[in-house]
Amino acid sequence: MTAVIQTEQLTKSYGSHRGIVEVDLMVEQGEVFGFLGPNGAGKTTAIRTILDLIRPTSGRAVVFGIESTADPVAIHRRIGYLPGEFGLYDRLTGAQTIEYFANLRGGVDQAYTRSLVERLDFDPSRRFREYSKGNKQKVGLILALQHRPELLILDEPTSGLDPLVQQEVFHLVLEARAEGRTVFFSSHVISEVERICDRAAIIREGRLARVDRVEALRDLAVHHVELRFSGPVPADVFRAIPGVSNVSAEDHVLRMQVSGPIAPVVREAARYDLADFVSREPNLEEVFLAEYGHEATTDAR
Amino acid sequence: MLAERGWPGAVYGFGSVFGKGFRDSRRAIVGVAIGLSLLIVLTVLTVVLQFPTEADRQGLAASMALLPATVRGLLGEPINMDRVGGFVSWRLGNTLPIIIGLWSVIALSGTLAGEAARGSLDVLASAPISRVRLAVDKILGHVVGLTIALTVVALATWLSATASSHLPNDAISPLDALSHFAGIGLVSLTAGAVAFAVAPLLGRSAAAGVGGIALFAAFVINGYASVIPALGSLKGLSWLAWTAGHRPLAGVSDPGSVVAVAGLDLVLLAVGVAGFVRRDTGSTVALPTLRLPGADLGLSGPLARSFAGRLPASLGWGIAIGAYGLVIAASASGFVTAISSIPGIGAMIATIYPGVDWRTSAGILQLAFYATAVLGAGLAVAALVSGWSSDERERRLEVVLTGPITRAGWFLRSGVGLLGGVAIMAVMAATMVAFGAQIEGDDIVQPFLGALVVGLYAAALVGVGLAVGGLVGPGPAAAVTGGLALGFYLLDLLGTALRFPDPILQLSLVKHLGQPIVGRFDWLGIALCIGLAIGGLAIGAWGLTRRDLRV
Repeated sequence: MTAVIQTEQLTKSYGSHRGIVEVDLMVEQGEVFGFLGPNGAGKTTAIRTILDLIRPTSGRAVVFGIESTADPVAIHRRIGYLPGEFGLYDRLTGAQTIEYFANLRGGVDQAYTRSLVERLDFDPSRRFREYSKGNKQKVGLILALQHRPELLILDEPTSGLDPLVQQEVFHLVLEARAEGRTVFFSSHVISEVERICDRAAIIREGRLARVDRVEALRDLAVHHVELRFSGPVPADVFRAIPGVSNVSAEDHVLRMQVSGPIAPVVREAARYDLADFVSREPNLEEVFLAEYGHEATTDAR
Repeated sequence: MLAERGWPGAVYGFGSVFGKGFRDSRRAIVGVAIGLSLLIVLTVLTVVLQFPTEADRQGLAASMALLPATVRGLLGEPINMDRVGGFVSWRLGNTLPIIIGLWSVIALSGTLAGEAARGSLDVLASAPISRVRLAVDKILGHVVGLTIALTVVALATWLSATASSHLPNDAISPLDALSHFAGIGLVSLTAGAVAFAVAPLLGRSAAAGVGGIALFAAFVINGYASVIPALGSLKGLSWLAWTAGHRPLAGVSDPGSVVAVAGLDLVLLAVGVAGFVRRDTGSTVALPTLRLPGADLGLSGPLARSFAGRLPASLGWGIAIGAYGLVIAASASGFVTAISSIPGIGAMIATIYPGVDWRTSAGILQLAFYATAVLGAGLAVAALVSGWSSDERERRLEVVLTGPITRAGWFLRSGVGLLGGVAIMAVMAATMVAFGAQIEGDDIVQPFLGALVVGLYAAALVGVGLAVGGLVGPGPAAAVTGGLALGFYLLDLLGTALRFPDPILQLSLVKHLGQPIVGRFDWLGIALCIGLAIGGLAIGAWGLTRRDLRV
């Protein structure tokens, strides 16, 4: 696979304030890459550095094989960007705004732009300042999508959109992937990353905490395991297994949390007269909370 | 419907950054072109009609030669005053670069930094356009607009002089008119270029402030260099002084000075482009400022919030106006010496200001400070009304009004807070002016009270702004206030000089303030100011209860 985005020790600091720290990231062509993190984690700083809107303090970002600070225009020619927070021109209508940015890029297929307007159920005749938050977001999405860029960088793309339009955005992202294009999908909404992304990175306090396939990330979370025995409950045996915690016994039922591989627990359970085995698969939200839960606990102290 | 895309949009419209910038300037271009053309035509016609013969012109030139250094400094050296071009270039020579310079400051401080402030710069900068191209297109959008506006003014000058006068010396060639206004344009551009140079570092508001201060400083240095020795040593820093000898309308040219100013403009603009290219987009440095207790003061309710929100600007404007008055008052003896050296000038002033002792700080302040203070107070009020109306424009009011407060209640309280800000500005300015008089050992009461009357004038303008803001909406409130302030000032300044009919002159509220710094109060005018302030507040409150909230 070809790397569309690659960062090496990418660092951006604002004086004494942290931005991002030594971020190593690789986004491959044709994938939808999720970028997860809470507010203030450094997602937008990373994106703006990759796009050369701000310059790295150290390290570098390479997009399409071009270093971001060397030829940003060549990169911008091939990307579509939706910022997390943006404003546009209050006095221009939606249509005029779309026309302006289409002209700045050149070669935009008007029929495709019209199809985007229809699919997002957008009325382009009103002035930007008259639009609701969701309609302003639709303008931003059309600006990012209308030239069918090779790389879409979307920062919180579903913010302010109603559920139906959110579905349409997911379809547009998946269509882009089906066409072999790449999508960098930054969000703090875990369910949407879980739903449409192939791989995801979790960023916290400016540093990359995890990067893996979405399924693999789920495996990193704590499994909630419930074992029902026909006979006595061997609680102490399971307490001794590495990764097992919070073991509690009630009648013939043993409950525990398992972090990491679950296989040792399964092997040990098989040695007993087991009536039932329940392991609830964690979702990405639990992965996320597992990453941040420790920090939250530390902060609380 | 989505519009069709075509190449003409690259020149004017949505086809390019330049085209959009040019389009965005269209109202300013038309306004400046028409407004200044009218001003020029009126001035030309007044000279031609009131001084129709060569003998009349010789008399005019002779009387102008007697003007004191202060007036010569403020308006420029009288050159060939027997020609219509000489009079026009002298009378408006130092005014036009200030008016047009303010346009440049506003346009160039906000052209990129304004995009950053509103949040559109990231979208724009992620388009496949280099930052250099982006910045240059933005600059060209303003420069081309400025060129078009001044070309129209130049042609209006040529046409009005050619059509109205039959004296041989009055003939102005189109080339001279264009050359004259090219010089004006380049000089006017400089303050804007200063703002553009610092905008990537400081952001829009601070850059506009720096540009405005630079323009004001250049004007003061050029205007008072001949009177105040300390300013005389700084004369080389004022680009307005560089081009004082370039007056093609009067028949004299100094192309070297124009080239020098053009070079300065280019350097400043290049610094701004380099700053934009090299810096992170939207990343600015906060200027160290005096920390005011605004947030702490402004939490108890709409009145306190409005007052606290206006307090920094009120103090800033008060200090700026007061500092100007302080310099004038503290230099009063220098002014008196300069004026006294002109034979017969005392008699001339006595004719204009009968009974005024111009040998005191108060007299000098009335002569040299008052009109500028009136203009400054008017512009300050426009800024303060703009800040007040932002509550509705930026939809904070929608949140506030969901609380247990009526619309009229909010309006009255926030309006009083705004008037409180004006009061602070007036007291600050008056105190500094009085301090200047104290330095000279003169009476401080009259200058203090006189400056407070300027504050009442400002409160009257606020009343108008509040009425418009309440009745119509937040959009036109500041524009109407600022337009009225500028209109009153120009009508008073130019109308008197051009001998407009008295009923027209009386339309300016400035005409109804008396000569307050020397203790001559027009009590009816003062009552009118108070009535406008209170009436505007009441009308605005009523208006807001009867209309939808707007943005």
